[in-house]
Amino acid sequence: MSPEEYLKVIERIASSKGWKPNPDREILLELARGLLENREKHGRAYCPCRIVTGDYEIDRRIICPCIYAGDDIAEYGRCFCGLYVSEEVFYGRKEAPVAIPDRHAEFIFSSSR
Amino acid sequence: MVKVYALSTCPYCKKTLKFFEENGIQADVVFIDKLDPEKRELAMREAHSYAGMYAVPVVVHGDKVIVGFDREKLEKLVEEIRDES
Repeated sequence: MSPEEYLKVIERIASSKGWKPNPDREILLELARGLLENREKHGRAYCPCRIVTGDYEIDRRIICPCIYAGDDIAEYGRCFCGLYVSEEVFYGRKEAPVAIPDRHAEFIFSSSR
Repeated sequence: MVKVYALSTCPYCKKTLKFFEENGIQADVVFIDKLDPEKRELAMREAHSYAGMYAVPVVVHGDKVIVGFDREKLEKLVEEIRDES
């Protein structure tokens, strides 16, 4: 599947969740490329902006859309990697931060102590 | 020289590295996802110690830290680095 074809999957997921795909097409395609690369390398479309540990119990949480996306979009207007944004961000009524904290890494390090 | 904590699959990391390359700034890149598990955790904690959160890319130059692809801050940093040389 090409990144361009993958965008259709992303659009379907976004509309089913009440989110929007990132309006920046260049970033969107790069994220799709990263997701496809992870699917190729690790067998699943893991978030391209997070570490894949190899421990499925941990990694399944970041299969895109990750389990954190809803909370991140509600709080920051974007998911961690910026693939999905809120309607406010999409229509320019709100600006999403350049980077947001990673709830997943918090989980990894709090569970590994 | 700047240090960049990055992931090879992350587009913002790619944009940041491309930005430095286009501006002739040498970057010491730590691709966290290419490290073995032990070094990977160390690198993530190191990046966190600079950024105050887990995120990529994290750019470090002296006491300057930039988290995410923030063009404005990156442009300012490039100017500072050029002034230094």
